[in-house]
Amino acid sequence: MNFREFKKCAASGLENARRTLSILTGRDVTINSQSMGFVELGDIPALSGSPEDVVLASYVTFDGDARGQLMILFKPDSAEKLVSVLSPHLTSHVDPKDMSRLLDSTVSEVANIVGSSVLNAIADGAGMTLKPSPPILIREMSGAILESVVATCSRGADRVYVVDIKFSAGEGKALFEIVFLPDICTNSSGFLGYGSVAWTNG
Amino acid sequence: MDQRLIVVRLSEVKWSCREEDILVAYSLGSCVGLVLWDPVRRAGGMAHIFLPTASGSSASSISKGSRPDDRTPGKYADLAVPYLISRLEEIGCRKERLVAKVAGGAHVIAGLSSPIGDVGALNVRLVEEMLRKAGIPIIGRDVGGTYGRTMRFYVNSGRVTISSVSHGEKDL
Repeated sequence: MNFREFKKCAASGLENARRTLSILTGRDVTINSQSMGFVELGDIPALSGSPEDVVLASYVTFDGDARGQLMILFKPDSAEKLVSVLSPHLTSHVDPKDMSRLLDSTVSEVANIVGSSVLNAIADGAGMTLKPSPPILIREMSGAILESVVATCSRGADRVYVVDIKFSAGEGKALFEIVFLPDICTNSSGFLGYGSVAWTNG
Repeated sequence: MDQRLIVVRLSEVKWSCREEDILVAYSLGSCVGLVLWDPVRRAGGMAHIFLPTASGSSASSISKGSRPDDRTPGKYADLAVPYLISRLEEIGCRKERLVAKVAGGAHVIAGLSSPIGDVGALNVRLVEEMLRKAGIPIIGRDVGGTYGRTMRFYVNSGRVTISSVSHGEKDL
């Protein structure tokens, strides 16, 4: 699979996810911005805005014919907004002390839908099998999450390949964000044109 | 006096002898923030260290004679520590007067594993081993755990603060 094919599969997965979320929320969920390409290490912690901003993140790894990591990041106010859209009756009745649990479970569910759409489209498009891990939910500074993830997969490279997509639901403000890190140094001989990628080592 | 904030990004090393300067490393996860300070010269520097070594994961594999990349001198612990010491000596600090403060090296995501093991713990181990070899005492330490930290270093006073989402702010 080369970069062009990968981008096509990823775009198809994102469109599936966008359509599903639009149906689920009854709103026009749109893709605000998207970028796919190599990012310098120093720019990674600020990928999702200020590195000190707290996010609620769902983190999944996948292996099989290719390896990589997928994160879906929500700002806390976006997560609350999402819950109020998806479960308007619940939020008006829920005890405030149970709100955090409700946020976590809604975010996990949405992350699951979005993550599966993207991974399935890439797997189908490339004729590969991708096996995702159970998602892990984290509430932490976005920079700390991103740098920790990149530290495990960069293998000393000065740049890593990142797919970064921001979704919104009407008002223009990002509702959530996907950060996808396909591991191009994977054992899969075909994934992302292994062998033909200019991978800079430090 | 207007204070000047200098951000030390991932894999960077910065140093200063200006009393108004504050060096900051935001949101350290598995990375380690290292501050070295000379209380006589009232100057110091900070490294935002990403990985333990250029050549492997363990202290025994510290690469002899390697030089750090000029753009990312803080990338590896084994290269960043001597690099920072040299830069401080160039601005009049003396190695025997330097003191160190170390923060970060957390395991932020449960279940996150790397081919080389727990990156945060290895970073801390390598930094501390390099400091021990250089004879620099560690006078402040806030490492490990499962949470991110922001480290601020006030060059004139040597004060270092650590802030985090779950533990608030404290002096190191």
